[in-house]
Amino acid sequence: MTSLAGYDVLADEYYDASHKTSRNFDQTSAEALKDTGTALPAEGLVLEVGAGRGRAGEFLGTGGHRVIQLDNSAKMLTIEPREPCLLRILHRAEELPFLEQTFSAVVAFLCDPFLGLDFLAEAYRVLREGGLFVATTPAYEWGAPLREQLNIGSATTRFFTRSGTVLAPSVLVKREQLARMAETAGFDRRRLHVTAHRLPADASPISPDISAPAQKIGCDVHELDILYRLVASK
Amino acid sequence: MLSLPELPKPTKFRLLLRCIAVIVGVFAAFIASVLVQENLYMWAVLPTTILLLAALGEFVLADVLTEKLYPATTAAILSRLEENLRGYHDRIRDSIARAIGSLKGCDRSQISGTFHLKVDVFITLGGVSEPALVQVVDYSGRLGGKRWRFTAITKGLVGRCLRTGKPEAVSFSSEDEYRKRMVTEFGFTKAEVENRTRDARSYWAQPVIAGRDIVGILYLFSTEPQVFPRAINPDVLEGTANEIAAYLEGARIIT
Repeated sequence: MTSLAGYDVLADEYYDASHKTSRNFDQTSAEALKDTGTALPAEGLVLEVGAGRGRAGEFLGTGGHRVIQLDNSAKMLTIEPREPCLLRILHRAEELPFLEQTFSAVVAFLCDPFLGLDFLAEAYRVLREGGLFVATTPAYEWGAPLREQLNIGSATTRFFTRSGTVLAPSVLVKREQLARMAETAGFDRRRLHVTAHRLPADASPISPDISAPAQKIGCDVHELDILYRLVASK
Repeated sequence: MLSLPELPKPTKFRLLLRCIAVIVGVFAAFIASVLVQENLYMWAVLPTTILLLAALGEFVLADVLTEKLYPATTAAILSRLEENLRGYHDRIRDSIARAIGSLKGCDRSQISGTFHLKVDVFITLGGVSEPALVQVVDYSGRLGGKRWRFTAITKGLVGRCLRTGKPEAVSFSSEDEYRKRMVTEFGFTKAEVENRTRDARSYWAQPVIAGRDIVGILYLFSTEPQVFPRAINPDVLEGTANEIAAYLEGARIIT
């Protein structure tokens, strides 16, 4: 079993259809974010953190001429095909290499590998006044029972890859805590919203790692919260 | 009444040696008496010798060995600490628990904390002392080891805090990163890292100051990453440090 800090080991196959759980999260993210793009400021730079091959265009309709992609994995930043962008930057999310108030939006899809007060505070710092922060992360209601079943620890996620099982850091927090974290990082509680989202009815195929915790809890797979969406304005 | 795990290490070590000597001695004496009853006097010489060696070990060698491993001066410091802290241990723990309760934007149930006191330890028989940190209170929170553990001031975040004299924080994103940096940045050996709690991801060390001297370190850690320093209110933590300093004065550990 391999464990890693970055996603270099996963990069070659992260977007493959064989990773059913990730694809189910894509379907859920697309549904959860479908109206969010319109809330994005019409102008200014957009920072996509933990970008991989880029999803800002796909999920939010953001033009590549506005997007700066940042990731701590060089391999994830060189995956092809990828969304167009202005610039790709290899760097940690917990310490963003930008001046204050640089971006009109900061987005991070499935930010669980680097979710924490440092990242949220950095996102707040680099946002302009009136800027928008959009993030998604796996829901506690889904992740906690699954990780208990898998016996892998609450701060770790597991990937089956062609070269074996890979463990990667993944922070899981409850919905209320996510809101408290954003508030501690500087966002105004009145202008931040955390919503929970479920697998769309037409999602297929469904990963066993989503159906197993649903079964354990005793609910239908479409009744289980699997994703949180955080939207906050500065 | 102190339970066995709370006893200082030298006392526990000496008790262990005594138990071994008594068990060996009793067994040897029993074998010797059986052999004498059977008129096997020559064979009885062997267990009798073992009995005498056990007695020699208990009355002479055990004290020498304990003194060598835990010099009397260090043991005396520990005994005095234990005695003086008796009425203050729980108050210091409560104070740390309140500090944990003041943290924001994190899961407080994932946080543990304790206090490390700066002491001089006598590592060799030459009477030369070295500063070290000893954990004098049990942890507040669900993780962490028992008290009376020593840390050299060259090691760990607590050692760094003592050396710099200012609050220190560090966060790790994974267990791998923790293992590597504990060795490359924090002075621990790989073997020492294996014996430590590796579930924690974020750490805070706050100097406790009395007068102009650092007398110890208030130490917090969380199993969540990126908790420190963002989750703390510096004024609250400084207040806790001052409270601990006052308790140490009350316990006559510092003057």
